[in-house]
Amino acid sequence: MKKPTVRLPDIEDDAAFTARLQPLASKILPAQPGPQEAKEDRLSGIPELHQSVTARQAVASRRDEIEAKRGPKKRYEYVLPVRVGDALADDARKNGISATICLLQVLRNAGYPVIQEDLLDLRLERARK
Amino acid sequence: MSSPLIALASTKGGAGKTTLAFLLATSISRRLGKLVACIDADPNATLDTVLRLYADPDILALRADAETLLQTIREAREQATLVLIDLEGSASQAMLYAIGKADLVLIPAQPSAFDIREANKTAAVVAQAADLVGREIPFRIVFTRTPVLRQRVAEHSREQFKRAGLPLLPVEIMERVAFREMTYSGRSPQATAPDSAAAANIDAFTSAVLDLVAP
Repeated sequence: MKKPTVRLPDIEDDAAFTARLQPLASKILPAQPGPQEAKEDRLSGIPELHQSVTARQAVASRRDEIEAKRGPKKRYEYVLPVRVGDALADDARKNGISATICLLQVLRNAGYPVIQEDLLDLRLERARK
Repeated sequence: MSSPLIALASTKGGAGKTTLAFLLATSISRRLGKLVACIDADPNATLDTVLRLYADPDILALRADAETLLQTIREAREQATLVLIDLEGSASQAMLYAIGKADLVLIPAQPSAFDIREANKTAAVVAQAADLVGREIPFRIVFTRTPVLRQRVAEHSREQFKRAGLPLLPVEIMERVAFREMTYSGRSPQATAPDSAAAANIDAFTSAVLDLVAP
C-alpha cells in the first residue's frame, strides 16, 4: 500500500480563497450577462468622449480642472518589457486611443483607482484645436 | 486535521461523476463504518436523489450551490470522516471552489476522444487552481464504463493520457449492468451482490482512492 500524500494547509478565509480563484473564474467561466454588459460599458464609454464635438469642447474647456483632478503623474513605461509595450500600442491603435489610455483602461478594469479624468486624452484635444 | 475532501469534476457531462461519487460514498462508509458526507453541487441533484432512495444512515446527503458550497464543506468536514463533492458537467464557480478545497480531484473519463479532450481541460483547471491557492492539489483521471472485453479504442484512450503525462488511477470502472441497476434501487452492488465482479471492481477502486487520501 502506498503512503498517503501529505495534505498541505488550506486557505481558511473564504474571501481570500475566492479572491485567489477569481482570475481563473474570469478565464474559464462563461460571462454573466449583467456584469459583462457593465464591463463593456466601462470599456467603451470613455473614448467616445473624443468622438462627439460637444464632448470634445467640454473636455477642452475643462482641461485645467481635469489636470488638477488627475494630480501629478509618474511614468512606469520604463519597466514594461518591449513586448508588452508593443502589444499595448497595437491594441491602442486598433481602438483609436493612446497606449497610456489603453493601459489605464486595463488597470481600471482590474480595479485600480483610475478616475474618469485619467482616461481623457488631452493631447488629442490639443491637436484638434 | 479536517476530513479529506474528494471532488468529482469534469467539464463534460455524462463522464461518470455521479456514479463514482455514489460508489465511493457507499463503499467507503461501508468499509470504514463511519459517516461519509456527499455534497451534491450539481443543479440536477442526481446524486442527492439516488442517495435518498435508500437513506443509508452512514451517508450524509447535502446539497449546495456556489453561494453555499464553502460553508457546506466546513459543516460536512466537521461531521463526516470523508467528504465527497459531485459537480455539474461544465465549468462552474462551484467547480472551482470544490477543486480549490479538494485533497484529491477525480476526473472521470470514458474511453472516447470527447471525454479525453474535456478531461485534459479539467486537469488544466486543477493545475491552475493549485497555482492560485498556493498548494498541491492531487488529481487522477478515472476511466469509466470501460469495456470488459479488450477493445482497441480503450487502449488508444489510455495511451492518450499517458502521452499527455496525466495520471490515471490504476483501477478503472468497468461497464456493468449492476451500476445501472443501482440507480433504481439506491443500493450499491456491494450490498446487493457482494460476490459479484461489480462489487470486486468497486472494492479495488475504493482501495486505490483511499491509498491517496486516507481519512
